[in-house]
Amino acid sequence: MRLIMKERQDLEHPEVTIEYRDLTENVKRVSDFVRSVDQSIICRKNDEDFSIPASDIFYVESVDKKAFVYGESEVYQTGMRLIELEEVLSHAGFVRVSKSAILNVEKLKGVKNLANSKLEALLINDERICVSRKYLKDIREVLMRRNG
Amino acid sequence: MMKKAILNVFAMTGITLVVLSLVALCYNASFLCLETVFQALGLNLLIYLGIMFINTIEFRFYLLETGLKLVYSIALVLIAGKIFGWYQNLSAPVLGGMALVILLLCGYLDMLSLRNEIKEINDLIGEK
Repeated sequence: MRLIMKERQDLEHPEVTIEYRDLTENVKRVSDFVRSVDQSIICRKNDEDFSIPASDIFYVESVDKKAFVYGESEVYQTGMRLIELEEVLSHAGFVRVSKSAILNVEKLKGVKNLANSKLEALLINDERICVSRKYLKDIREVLMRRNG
Repeated sequence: MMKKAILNVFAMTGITLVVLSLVALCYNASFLCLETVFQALGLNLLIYLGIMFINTIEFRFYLLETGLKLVYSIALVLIAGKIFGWYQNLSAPVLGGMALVILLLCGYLDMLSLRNEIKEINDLIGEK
């Protein structure tokens, strides 16, 4: 894959064009990554709106039909539903880990099996969230896609 | 997923037949009927499908989930025993005990499979 970068003063925003003969897995990975760079979610905290980049989101959890977006140490609320966020953030490396949570695999440090047969994901900020076994396959697939 | 399901059902059936053979030896039996093999296969398929369904439900309490799987499996074995006439050769407690042993062995294999899955994920995370 060749990388060609051109500086153009007439452009207001950077543009990425991907030229390919066949839509291979590598091409899809590049396009997913580009799509995810600018991805952000509108969230609310203390009556103020914030645009949170997907890369800053650790995980999203749904509680009482409300979706909470967790950053490294901050928590926001969003009006979007978890299922909508799952679709929007799927290109940014987010994967469903339980009925009520989606996780950014870039923030994942490890998965652990607890004594009571529950699974736990350890994040890079040392936070832990519960993982359901039925989603392990999906986590593995996303990681394999990211690693290439 | 289908391939994994088929392998699991056949593995469970294999374990069932081994345990059944060991119990049969204790009763001085010298053979297993062919129809018993297929009865075991059919029964394990039903047990597997039921356990897969239970796995789709997220339980708050691990003991509740495990208890439900155990009760479902053993109940199915006892009902199958009535249908297939297994009580002519084995008592219900022996049949229930066998089912428990088989479930424990399968549970152990399942635990090993889960450990491998987790290791694979942690290795992939390390490669990132």
